[in-house]
Formats: sequence, C-alpha cells, structure tokens
Amino acid sequence: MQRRLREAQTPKQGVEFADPAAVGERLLTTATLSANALDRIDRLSMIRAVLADEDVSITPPAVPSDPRTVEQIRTEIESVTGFHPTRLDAVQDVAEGLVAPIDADATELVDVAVDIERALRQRTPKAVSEVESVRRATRELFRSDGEVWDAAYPAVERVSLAGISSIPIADIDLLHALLDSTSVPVDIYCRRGTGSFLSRRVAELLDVAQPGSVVFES
Amino acid sequence: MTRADHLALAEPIEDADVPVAEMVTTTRRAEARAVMATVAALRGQGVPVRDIAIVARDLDGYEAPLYRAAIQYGLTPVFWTQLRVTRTRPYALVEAVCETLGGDELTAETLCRPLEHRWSPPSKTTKPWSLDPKEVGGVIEALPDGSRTLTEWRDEFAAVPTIDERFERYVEWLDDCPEPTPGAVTDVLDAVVDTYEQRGLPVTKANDSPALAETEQDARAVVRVKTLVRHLGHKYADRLEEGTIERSWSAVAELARLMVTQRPGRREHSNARAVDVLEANDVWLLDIPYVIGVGLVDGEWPQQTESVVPPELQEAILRGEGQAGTLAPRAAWTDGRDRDQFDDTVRAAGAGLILTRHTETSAGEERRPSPLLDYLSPEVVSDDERRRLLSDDPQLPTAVQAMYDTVEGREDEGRHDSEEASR
Repeated sequence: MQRRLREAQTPKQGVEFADPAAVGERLLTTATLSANALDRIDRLSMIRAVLADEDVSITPPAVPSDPRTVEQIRTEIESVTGFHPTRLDAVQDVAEGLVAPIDADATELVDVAVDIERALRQRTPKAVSEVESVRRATRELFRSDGEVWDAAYPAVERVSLAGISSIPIADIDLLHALLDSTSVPVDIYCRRGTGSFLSRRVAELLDVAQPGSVVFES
Repeated sequence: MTRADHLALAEPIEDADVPVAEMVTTTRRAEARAVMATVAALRGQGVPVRDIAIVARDLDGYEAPLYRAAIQYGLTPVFWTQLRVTRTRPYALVEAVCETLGGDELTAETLCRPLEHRWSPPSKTTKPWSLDPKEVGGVIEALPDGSRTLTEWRDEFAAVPTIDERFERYVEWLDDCPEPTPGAVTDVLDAVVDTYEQRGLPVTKANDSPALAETEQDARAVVRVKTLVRHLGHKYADRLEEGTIERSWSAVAELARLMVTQRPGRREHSNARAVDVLEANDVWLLDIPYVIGVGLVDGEWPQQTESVVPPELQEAILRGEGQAGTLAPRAAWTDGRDRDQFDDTVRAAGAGLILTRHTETSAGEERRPSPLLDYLSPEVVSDDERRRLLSDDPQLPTAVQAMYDTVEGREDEGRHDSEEASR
C-alpha cells in the first residue's frame, strides 16, 4: 500500500502503516507487558514434545498426530473461535449438530485444538503465537478501558483495516475492544471479490462479550 | 462442499474495462513460451518493458518455465517472490544480535534474545555449546528487572558466582564487539551466521521429523542470510558515505529488515530491461498497461487449500446461520482470496489483459480452464495466430495488436501519464 501511495504521489504523512500484530505489540509494550511470542518453528518443536510426553491424547485416524497437522488444527480452530468461550460453545454445538460420524470427528478436532493450545500455554511464559499476542493486547485494551490505546497512539484519529480477503477473529476482537473502549472511529475496507460476503458477517462477529478473552485459566 | 457453494459466497466478478485475449497451449512450458513471445513482440512494437507485467497465482510452478522462456527471448525476468526470510531463525539471530549491540540500555530479555535464537561463540572448536530455551528462560528469570548497559550487565554477571559461565562468555563477546564500521558489521555477522550453521542447524536437525523438512528450510535460510550479510555490508557502507544512515548497530538492524522486505519495485527498475513477474497477491492497486495473467487452470487459479476441518463443519461456519454467526468464516476454506486476486489482476490492466492457460499436465492428463474465466468474455487467440507469434517472424495475435493500436490512438495523454509515473 505504501508503494501504491508513493507511485500515485500521494503524501504518506499522517498515515502510519501497521498490521494488527504490530499494533498489538505496541499496546503490550506500552502496558509494560511482554510482547514475546513463539514463532512457528518453536511452536512445532514444542508440539512435538507435547505429543511425545502424551500431554494431549490424540486418537488417529479422526485426528492425525504429526506436529504439522496438529498445528494446522490449532490454527484453523483459532482463526474461527479465537478460543473465546462463547465461540467455542458455538462451534461445539455446530459440530454436534452434524450427521454421524462427522459430528464426533469434528467435536474431537475442536477438543484437540483447545488441548494443544492449553498445553503450549503451560510450557511457555511467552504468548503461544502472534495471534495470542494480539489477544493479550485486546484484553489489556478492554481492561484498561482504552487507557493503553491513548498512551500508545495518542495522536491517532482513525483506524482503517484494509486489503483483506478474510477477517481473522483476533483482528475483529481487537477492533471490537477499540470501538468499545475508545472513541476512535474504525473503518473496514473489503475487496471486490469477497467484500459483500464479509460485510454481511462482520456485525454478528462483534456480538460477543469480552473480546479477546479465552477459555484458559491464566 | 461443491464449487458452486463456494462461489455463491461472493458476487460475480465484473468484466474487464479493457480488451481481454485468451491464449491456450497444451503444456505449461508451451504456455510460458507463448507468454514470453508476447512480451518480446510487444517490446518489438516499442512498448516499454515496464509497461508489461506477468502475473501468476502461484509462482512456484511458473518460475522455472518462465525463466527459461525469457532467456530464449533475450528478456530478463524479475520474480517478485515473497521473501519469508524474516521468519527464519538465522535471520532472527542476526537481527537480535544487532539490536542487542545497538541498545544503550537492555532488559534481561533483550540481552538474552540472541541466546534464544541459538547464538554460540564463534570459534574454531566444534565443542557442543547447546543452551536450550529452558536454560535461557531460567537465567532471564533469575536476572534483575530493569535496563542496564552491556558493561553493567557484564559486571552484574561477574558478581553472581553461580551464573552459568556460558552466559558470562556471551556478555563478554557482546561487550568486546567492535564499533559498527562496515567491515566490522560484515565480520561479526558473518561469524554469527557461520557458527549458527555449525551449531544451531544441527539442533534443528536433531529435533526434526524424519522427513527433515525444517532442517531443509533452516539450511536454505542460512544461505539466504549469508548473502544478506554480504549485501548488507556494502549497502551500509554506501549509506554511510551518502550520510543517509547513522553509524550504529540499530541502524544496521533496520537496514537489514529493509533489505529483506523490500522487493524490486517498478520504479527502481524503470530503466532496466527486466520484465516483472509477480504473484497475484502483489497486484492489488497496481496500474500496468499490459497485464499477462498465466495459469488460468482449474486447481491452479483458484487453488483449493487443504484443510483438516471436515467440509460439513466448514460449510456451517461459512454460512454463519444461528450460533455459527459469531464464528469467523475462514477465507482459506473458500476461493475468496483467489477471486479477490483475480479481480485485482483484471483491474490492474490499463490497456489490455492477456490470459493464458494450458490443457495438459506434463504427464498428459487433462487440465480444465479456470471457472474464473467465465466472468470475462475474452477473445480467444487462434492456433494459427499462436503459431505465427512463436515463428521466426513473430506477429502479435490480432486481439493483442488491437490493444496496442487502441492505446496508440490515445498516445498523447497515455504517454504523458506513463512518463510522469516513471519519474
């Protein structure tokens, strides 16, 4: 986007470019919380260890047990639910409502994702992923009633999310917390191929309490 | 879920505002040759190379054939492949070392970050060093809060007799690192990457699955980062000479990040002979007169991504009825991203859009046209015309020639604009 603006000779002054992960990092740093997150390589070796220690039980063939697949299960369920209590209940209900035997497989898949995330959280003081960092920032934003935002971005008048073909739930929750706890207006710019579908869904995605919260205790 | 369901999730794509031609070949290699023949013929008509771009959904399958075909036609392709090197451990190590050396005051966490990325002392011995993340984490927790200078940390470590001597050795190494002259930057970082190759890479291998996929990735990253370090030294020296950078390790870290994330841009290449080959992901908002979209083959563009989630559950979440309404629809379960990128490609073309596809795999299996083509009404290039394009006396297919002639008709304003843009 920066390049396009430069080519169009549109001034970039007054515009700061950042992805949600960078925003989360700035918020956490401002709140003097750790913004450290595991990267994928670390996560894969940790998942391998979790599986080797049988911290999480997996029953093939419903759920394959190689670390990459397990990581993919974790990522997919995370992108849909953000491990938010209300959304996990919803996905479990939806899974249970499917025809047998798919209902059992789907339910187990969700359980494995939650168990793996929990096991990873217990093994590291860092955030399990960049996505979890964004959630930490979201919780902090909500908890501080916007104070951390004002400290991190005192001069920001407007937030725009642009260039998206999908809306990861962690990003939606971050925007949700921002809308609830500050007076900063938020715009979402969709694209032509997917825009009408996504824009129909956004309102309901904002319809959960405590954005960024997770089912895990700590 | 059927394709129709996927497609129903989004509106139809609007037809292009410019003329569209479709060129069909049997194999991917023949497709690549036809593409480069078109580029060469457009060049022959006087179209500047920067006014042409080739777009693929995924460069993996097209980079090699396009490269070979380009060479045949005396063209230099520039592939805008995504650089993922920033996500690799050797890169993270180099960045962490620069940031640690560049910080005036360091927290225990920042101080130890290079250790987490498997820093080990550069030396001739291959004696095992292996500090695992747990040990590093333990020491970070034992260290006092707050920020200190390197020298203060060195004193701190010296005052604690129980501290692992490897940590002492590490802080000594940091504290003894020279001032960041270009030569010193290259030497220090070179040594850091070399020792990573000797001691860090084997750790990845030991933890890897039998297929050694991570080891291969890590080894490739080592090679990339070595090259980066070499270029970094030169660029840093240039910038110092120009007076556009300060002499500090932090500035080196910033420059390194800039170098690995910056891809060759049209402006940087506006006088070069290179033809841009982009992934559709990079086309958003671009404006290029002639766009050649390759690989409009079902399964190639759009491409089905593998998922571990049963299709029935995907469908329920995508539909979002009832409780599922609070669940985020995952783009990778649909062809939404591919549609967006196809639309970007269509909109990027300012004078004409040429779409190509092949009909057979190298094993002779049939490859069907992409359903995305149904949204447009291209003029199909005949076999005769394609043969003439590839002959010793190449001629542009009439559909493509017409694009050129139309633009020539509007030459005055058109050329003015493109000169403005290239400045």
